[in-house]
Amino acid sequence: MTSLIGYLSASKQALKNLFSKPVTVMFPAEHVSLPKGYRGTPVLIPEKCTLCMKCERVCPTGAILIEKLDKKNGYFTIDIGKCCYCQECEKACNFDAIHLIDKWLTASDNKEDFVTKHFVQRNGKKKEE
Amino acid sequence: MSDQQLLEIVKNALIKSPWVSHLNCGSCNGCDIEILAVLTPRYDVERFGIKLKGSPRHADVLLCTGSVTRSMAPRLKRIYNQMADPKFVVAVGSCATNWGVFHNCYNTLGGIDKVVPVAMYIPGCPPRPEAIVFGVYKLLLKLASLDLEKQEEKDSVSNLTQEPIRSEEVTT
Amino acid sequence: MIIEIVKIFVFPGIAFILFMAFFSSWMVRKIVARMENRVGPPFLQPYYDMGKLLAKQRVYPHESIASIMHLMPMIQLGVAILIALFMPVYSPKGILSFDGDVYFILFLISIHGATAYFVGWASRNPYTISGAGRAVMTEISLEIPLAVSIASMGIMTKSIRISEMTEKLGISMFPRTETGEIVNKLTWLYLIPWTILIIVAIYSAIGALELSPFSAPHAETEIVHGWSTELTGADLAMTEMADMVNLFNLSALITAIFLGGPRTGLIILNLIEPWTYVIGFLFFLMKFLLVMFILSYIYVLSGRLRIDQIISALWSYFLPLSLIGMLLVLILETIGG
Ligand code: SF4
Ligand code: SF4
Ligand code: SF4
Repeated sequence: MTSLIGYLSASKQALKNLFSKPVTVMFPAEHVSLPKGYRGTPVLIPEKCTLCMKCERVCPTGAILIEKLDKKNGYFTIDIGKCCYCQECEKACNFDAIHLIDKWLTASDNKEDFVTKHFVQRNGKKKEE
Repeated sequence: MSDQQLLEIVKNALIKSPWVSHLNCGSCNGCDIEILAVLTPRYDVERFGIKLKGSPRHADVLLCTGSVTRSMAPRLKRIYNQMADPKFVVAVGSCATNWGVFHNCYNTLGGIDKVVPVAMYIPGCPPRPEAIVFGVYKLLLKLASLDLEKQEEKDSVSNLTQEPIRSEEVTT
Repeated sequence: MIIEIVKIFVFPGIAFILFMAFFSSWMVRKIVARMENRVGPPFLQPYYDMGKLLAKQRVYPHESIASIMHLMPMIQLGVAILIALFMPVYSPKGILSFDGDVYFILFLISIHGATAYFVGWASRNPYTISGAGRAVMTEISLEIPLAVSIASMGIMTKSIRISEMTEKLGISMFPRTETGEIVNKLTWLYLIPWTILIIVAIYSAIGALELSPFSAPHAETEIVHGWSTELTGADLAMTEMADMVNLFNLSALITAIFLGGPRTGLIILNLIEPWTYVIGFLFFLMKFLLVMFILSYIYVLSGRLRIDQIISALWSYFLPLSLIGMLLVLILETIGG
């Protein structure tokens, strides 16, 4: 008996759906709005970075790689093909130099596209507060 | 009708109806759930002609998730070999792309492309459903832009000249 | 001569049948999608699918019997098209028509189950073999309720030929005088067995098409893809096309036997020769779409039954239901006669 009632309510829903507008988001043409605080691709602001290596130490997946040339200069590499979007680097950074922005359409047929390499020159200015 | 025109028709038909099959090569299930989310009414992919098939023999696109575990590697290889041409592999998730959270784990190989050639990588842990749709969409765009005049690009979609094959004996 | 050839190959022959098959496949997918509140596939989707599958490579598993796996799908498609040639589309008479063709069609429908079994057996795979067993069990169980319900309609119309059953349906259910008045008020009672029988026939058709709730023979992801798991390329295209043509066949069979096919029913129209055909075709389309809608409605609302549940449902509910329908028809015939 309960199954019959379930069947009837389901059929009512089905008929209602048949004549209403579909809920589908027509994806390439329109987008779903992202929730606030969405964690997308990590992006470095090279001017603020001091090459303190804190983010490389906390990164659980090895997505961040810092090669120091000397005390002030170095290469900063982010590989979003490895990143797990955990925001640990943003939390660890004392200089607000790395941020997770809301960019997520990153599919590619070439793994090289995921790697961004920055040349970082440390200017020694520490951020206030 | 010439061979060239026939191939053009086949290519367009392939772009309009990519059937996908899904293989879990040792993922944490996050990406599998997102793949299911792609099939829900919200992101309905049937409007691109994408259909989830249970059997990899029916599929054109193999959606792989997870960094390949050691015991899964030969099976992934075998499933790939037994699919019918033309076939494409899409690696879904960061750990399928480049190890991700299983970084330096002794029992995983670290990526689908260590075992089989991959046509499209979708990073994200897990990627949003739109990102997966976008990845498959980008793969189709790539196929659509193939130039059939060139032999090697022609080989990747056509098998009109190939004989039916018989898969090898199963060895474990 | 030319007209005969056009009839067989163009309308209402093979070209029209394939068009209708693709159209009905798209129709079911679209209705299901809309009922699930999504957009659904574009109109040309079945053509793309078939074009792609026909061009794909064929792979035969180790130790499988390639000749059977290649031949059986072709037989399925051929048989499906042969059944479709019996269907009345614009006039009560199909292209092929002879006494007892209803039972010939039932025989041809059961060939589908047999070929499914051979495909599953030849692929040498545990999933295909269990799918094949399920296909045959479902086929055997649904055959008898379907046959009984069609036989009851045969008793009602006193004929076992589709064209006569279509023609006489309205007359035998509602016999009328010259002026068009219904003779006997008792004939409204015929609607009771008719409702029972059409329900049984629609559920049996769903079983024959392997849609849910009777989709256990190729239960996706449960036993990979049932008996057609190992088919690839052109072989798969043939079975898919046979499924589409069978969708047309069974809807058209129910339309013809239970709803009077291209007949206009109680409405009396006095038209000259070509216009009766046009009106008949339109009425056929209307009734056909109604049956398609009911099929997809049941399909979308029900989950998949287990194979033992399918067998017990068909043998212990639908078979007695069809026998009750037949009994009611016999009683009414005795009273009315
Ligand atoms: S978000 Fe997490 S995984 Fe990605 S770079 Fe930052 S710390 Fe590494
Ligand atoms: S991004 Fe921040 S934590 Fe990482 S090296 Fe630069 S300053 Fe240090
Ligand atoms: S990419 Fe992340 S969510 Fe996806 S399977 Fe790997 S670990 Fe899980």
